[in-house]
Amino acid sequence: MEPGKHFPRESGSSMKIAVCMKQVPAVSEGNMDPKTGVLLRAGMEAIVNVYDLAALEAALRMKESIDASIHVFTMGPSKAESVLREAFAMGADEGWLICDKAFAGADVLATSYTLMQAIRAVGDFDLILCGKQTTDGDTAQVSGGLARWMDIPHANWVTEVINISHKEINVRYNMENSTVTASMSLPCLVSVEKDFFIPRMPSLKLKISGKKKTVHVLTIEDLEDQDKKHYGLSGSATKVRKIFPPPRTKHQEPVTFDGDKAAEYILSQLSDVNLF
Amino acid sequence: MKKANIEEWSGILVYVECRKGKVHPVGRELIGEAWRLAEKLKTSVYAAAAGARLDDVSGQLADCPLEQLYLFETEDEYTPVVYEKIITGCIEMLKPAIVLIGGTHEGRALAPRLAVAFESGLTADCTSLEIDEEGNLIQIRPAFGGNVMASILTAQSRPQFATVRAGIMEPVTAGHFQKMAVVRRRMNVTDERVRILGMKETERGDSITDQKILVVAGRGVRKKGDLEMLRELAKLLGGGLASSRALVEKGWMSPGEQIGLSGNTVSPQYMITCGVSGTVQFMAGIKQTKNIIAINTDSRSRIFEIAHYPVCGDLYEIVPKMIERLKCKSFE
Amino acid sequence: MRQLIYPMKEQYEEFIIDESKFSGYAQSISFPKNEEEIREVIKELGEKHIPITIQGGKTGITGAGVPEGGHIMNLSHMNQMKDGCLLEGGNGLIVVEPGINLMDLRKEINATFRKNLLFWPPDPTETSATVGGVAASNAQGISRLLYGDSRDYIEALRIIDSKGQAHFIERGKKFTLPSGKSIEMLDAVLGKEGITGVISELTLKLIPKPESIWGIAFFFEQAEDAGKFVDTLKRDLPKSKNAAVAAAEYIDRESISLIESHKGTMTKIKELPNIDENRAGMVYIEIHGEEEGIEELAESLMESAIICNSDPDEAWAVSGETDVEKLRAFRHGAAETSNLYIEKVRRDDKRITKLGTDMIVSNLTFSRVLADIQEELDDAGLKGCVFGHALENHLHVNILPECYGDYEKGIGLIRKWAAEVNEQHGEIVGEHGIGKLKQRILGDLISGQYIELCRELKSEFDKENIWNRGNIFPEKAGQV
Repeated sequence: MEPGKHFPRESGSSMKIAVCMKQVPAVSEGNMDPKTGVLLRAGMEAIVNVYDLAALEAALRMKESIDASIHVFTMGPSKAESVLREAFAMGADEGWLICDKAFAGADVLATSYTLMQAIRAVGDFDLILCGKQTTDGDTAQVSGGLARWMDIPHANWVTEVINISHKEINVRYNMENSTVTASMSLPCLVSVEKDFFIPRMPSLKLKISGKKKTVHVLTIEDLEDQDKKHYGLSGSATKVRKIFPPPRTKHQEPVTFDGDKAAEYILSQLSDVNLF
Repeated sequence: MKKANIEEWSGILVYVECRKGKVHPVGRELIGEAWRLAEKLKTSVYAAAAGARLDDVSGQLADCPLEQLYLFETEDEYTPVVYEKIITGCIEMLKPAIVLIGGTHEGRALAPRLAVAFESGLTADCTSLEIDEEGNLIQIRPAFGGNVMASILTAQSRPQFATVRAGIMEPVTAGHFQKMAVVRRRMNVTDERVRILGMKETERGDSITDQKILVVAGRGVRKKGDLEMLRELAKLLGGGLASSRALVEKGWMSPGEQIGLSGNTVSPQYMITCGVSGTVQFMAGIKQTKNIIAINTDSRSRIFEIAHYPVCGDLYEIVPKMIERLKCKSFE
Repeated sequence: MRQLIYPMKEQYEEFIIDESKFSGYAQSISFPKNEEEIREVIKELGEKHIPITIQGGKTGITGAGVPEGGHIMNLSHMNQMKDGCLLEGGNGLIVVEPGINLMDLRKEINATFRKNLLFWPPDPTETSATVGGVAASNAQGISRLLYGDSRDYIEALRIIDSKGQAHFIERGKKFTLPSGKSIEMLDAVLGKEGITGVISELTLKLIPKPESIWGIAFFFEQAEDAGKFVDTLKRDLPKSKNAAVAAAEYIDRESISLIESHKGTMTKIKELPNIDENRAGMVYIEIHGEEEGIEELAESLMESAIICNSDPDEAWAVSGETDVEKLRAFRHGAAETSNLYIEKVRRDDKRITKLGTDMIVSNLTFSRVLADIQEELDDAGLKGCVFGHALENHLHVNILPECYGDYEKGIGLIRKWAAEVNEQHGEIVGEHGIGKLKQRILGDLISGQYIELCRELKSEFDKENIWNRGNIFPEKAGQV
């Protein structure tokens, strides 16, 4: 693909929504070899990050009230294509697989940069949707980073899209002790709360027709910035120094105490709870 | 990733979140942690707060070991884009080696924007922080759902950003510190792209899957009325009451409060089981619980095999004593 | 001497009842951790001639693991995987203790065979059931359609007799009974509900996992259309070179409504969307094999479904173990929630137990079987959930009595059905076992030949009559 915009915006056309989705290992119980500290991924099933399914659901619901086309972007190895197939089965229109050796090993900074480059290479999007976090990595920061790279405002952990038009989006999100409603002009980015956008089941008809759809692949040569040093491991600012097993409480023999001593013992275990 | 001239960056900046003029508790925790790190680096700690109504903030932080406290007054109540602009300016001026931000809703929206603005590294939800031999910040956090720990470095860029959730670090304790300098600035920073339409106070979530602390009633509870005592314990601990299938079968608890294979899967920080034997079906619903304290009179109970703190004893003796102790403390 | 046998106390209340809610009583209980402990218990009890009821995960639905006097030997602490190996040709073998449940078995298999992915085909939807229980009750699962009987995947086992002697029984070893009948030794144990001894170890056969799995749920506004759909599939099951239909399960409206009323507390399925109220039934199909072949079959199924008025836009389609698990959990919800219903009704009348059928009628169409069931339930004025293995005409009707009167009527209806099925040369006990509950409800209608065989096995292998009294044939336990 020629680097540059594939789908430049024409006025009066339907809204273009980008949804970022990631493939993750199915089991959150990482199996780790305690001797080498290496994660044993062989045999673990790869699935779509459940939080991202909520983002896609949010997009699909918007499409029910406004003319829009939904492009799903996923960054990963070639088997991540199944993310796009699943997205098609739910109703996504186009799928983009961002796949290149140069992108591997990226941290939040490099990942969000790669996503920005990929999204810009495809076109001008009015709205970008992300899941709240991933089940591997769990940092919930890529969405904010992506918004900054794209120089657009963002709202995180949105629980409701109150209104969407070509110019702006009204959203609701929960902070610790309050619920906020805000209005953002487009283009902007929204990350969604999982429980408020329960993903629809993929339909058989769409699953079968989705198998026949073309998946577009984006390599570094399709992006405007083709400097490998800006991507993947070299483009990352953080590096994992080491991985180790968490402090695990060893199996303990039951202690036998009378009422008061037992009460004292138990309460002392609740050390970081603000009890008083 | 932007390589920074490391020598130019020093000091630790703590972003202090404020809501309606009140400093969020995580602020004091991060200042405490920053101070501990600063002693190792032999450097200073700064704090910055942004927003409207900051009059009381310096008073609330008066006893903190801060070299300087920056108060940036704006019209806007919190929006990430406005606060980002303000704090970016502050960072450019101070050039701190480390920036600590609370892992709150606000903090987690702000931190990545700042990290990208400086093309530097950010590690979110750190559970502990250390300094290595070269003076870099070691950022430690769980990965893969908490089953492995990762130790992370931002070796070449600055500042090194880290977010930490509330309740993880020790807050500042009173001490004799040099008086801090307070710098107040009125900021004329706005962003028309975002408008806050409304803000409403809310109640906290009630479902057992939301709770950080759960007291679980099992078959060892003899009468329905005895649940009141467990409910009280849960309330005093700031948590909720749940049950194993046995009591739901009896109609004493509702199915929504059931834990287990045919009930809810929960993963609270703490769970205190009372008279729960620990069937396979029950234990399937609590795998990710971080600390399980189990009370049962039978030392051979299944639950003792996975409990972190197995206590062989009678809940009818222990629970009332716990309630007594909790009530006493609250009057101290 | 350490204590292995514990007198029954209030704290062991949970061990005198199983999922059928048939409840019993006992004098003592043990939780042996290995064969040595089993032997010790047998020896100590043998001195006083105390009969033993063997128990696994207590997920049985016929009371086979429920004691009526005597001692309970609960094997849930014997839950280790002991050995595993890959065979030439790609299959595998795994040696396990009987108390390991199906969830943990799956984990152990995944952990042991990391490069060559294998699985154990028998897949009862109740995943907290133990392997020993599956072997003893002849439990099957939804994929029997493709993979065959559970017994085909048990290669060998160790059984301990009433004298405490262990016997290693391998597939292929035959035995001639006094009556002249020749049987596979394994069949003296498999499906015989513990009447011949206690299983202390099993060797399971594993086969390679299919490359891909799809789970598809078709919804029908009329039950007749669902029936037609199944009939079509039965007549002409779509075939492909490297994929096949592995399961076809029917779930009726009553089951769907019951599942949805409990969904909020069932983690695996609570995020599944609610099904349109106007859908009278659904057919859940699993296809296993290679992706290409699966697609072919899926398209073919879709066409048949359209002809039977099922909307393919509405049909759910998922792939991969994790997502298919959710649909399996939904199907299991049918069984689970009808059990929960019984639990609720029992609070007002403890005499009520589960009333589920387990009958197979081969020579009628599925439509006919389904229609008859519904008609007879309506005629009797009873409510019931109907779900089960559609292509084998093996439906489980769970009557939902509102009072004891309904319960009695339900028993009457089940007996009527059993008599009819016998006439049609079908099976009235398909995969749940007879235990004590079915023995009471259907005892006289069960194949005389089978009962005779069991009696013969009992007298040959359990002369002291200590094992699982009351299962299959009537006999109260209690001290002799």
